[in-house]
Amino acid sequence: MANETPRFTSRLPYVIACLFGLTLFFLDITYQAFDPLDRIKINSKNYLQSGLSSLKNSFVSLQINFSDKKLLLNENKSLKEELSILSVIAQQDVFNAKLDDVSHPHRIINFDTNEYFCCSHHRMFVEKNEKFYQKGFVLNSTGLIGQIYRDHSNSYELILLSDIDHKIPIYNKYFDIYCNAEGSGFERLIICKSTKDLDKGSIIGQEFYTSGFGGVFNKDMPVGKVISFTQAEEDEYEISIEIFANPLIDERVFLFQSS
Amino acid sequence: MSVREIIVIYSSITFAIILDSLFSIKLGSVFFDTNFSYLIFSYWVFAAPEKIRVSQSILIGFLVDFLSNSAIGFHITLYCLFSLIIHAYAYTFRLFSYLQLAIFFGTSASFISAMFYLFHHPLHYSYLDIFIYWITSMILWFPVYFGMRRFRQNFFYA
Repeated sequence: MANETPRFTSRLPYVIACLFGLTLFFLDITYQAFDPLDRIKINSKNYLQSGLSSLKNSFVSLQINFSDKKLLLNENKSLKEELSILSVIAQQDVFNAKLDDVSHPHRIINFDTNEYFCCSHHRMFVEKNEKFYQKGFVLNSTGLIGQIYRDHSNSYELILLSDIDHKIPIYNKYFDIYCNAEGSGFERLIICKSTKDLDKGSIIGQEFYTSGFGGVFNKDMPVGKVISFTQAEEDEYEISIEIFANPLIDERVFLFQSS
Repeated sequence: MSVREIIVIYSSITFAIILDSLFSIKLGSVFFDTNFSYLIFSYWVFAAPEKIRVSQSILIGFLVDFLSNSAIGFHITLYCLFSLIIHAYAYTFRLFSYLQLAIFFGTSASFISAMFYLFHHPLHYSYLDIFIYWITSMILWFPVYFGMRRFRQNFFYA
């Protein structure tokens, strides 16, 4: 009869370790017990990203310091920045935001695009400037992308409209639909649940605007247009809305204090 | 374990986490993901089972939890579970062919990825993605195995 394969350790410590891991996992998933640890991770990651970016910029400027390209590059950079400011100013009537509110754009220091494409948490971190924001909404040159979520030591954490935990009060005046659209967890897609049975042909393509409830977003800011209308339950319908704005377009965003 | 061995093992795991973030890309409707961190961890357990025991499995699991986007405890649990399985069959694995090893380690890597999506992002759980992880993990086992073996021979016992 063959001997049993010898083992390096007994099974008991592994079983205890697995139970320990499961307990930590349960505490984190249910009660967010390790939130302070998460904040440490975010802050250190943002400091690192910011430092690396500054180092890269100073290296690039040192490299081109003696070349003729320097002026052109600087001009190109400032023109790009001006253009994005102008595009936001041009949208100010549409977004009911005041010109005085347009501060210098905030540079994105950390945006996990893998997380944006693969997963449901769509967060962005932008550097701070002299202005302080408690709550407010975020625009880029393509439109409304989200709102300020948390204040970190060196950055603002923004939650995008498509994040699974985000909700935005929106309406459509032609069909008189008001709802809290939830982020779908998929890129540029939010879901509005309604009890109204609507004609699928006429609702598709309709535009939705912010209703102004909730105190974060101004009223009548364009959000997106309907791309599908399906029955979820017996008396509940799901309206899928494609968001107009694309958070991947710009390197900088504009924060606005809620009025 | 000596300090040198700890540095070698933990730096290879950290390097694997960086590789995971670099090689995750969206191709059309499929999200291409890798699990280098598990493959390298399992290589160490397979190649040096006397070095990676339960305490090291917990610490490496915690490191992966902390540096990746998963909840604390997720990788600790699964790394301890697979560490136990690899330890239990350590000598049996020595009789396996390279292909059999690739099938076992590729399947366990894709199992961890599947569990990750199931618990953290259930809306993004896709059988097609899991199937692609399974195939890529099996293929990636070969470079990980031969690369890490060379790395271990040069640095671990040097």
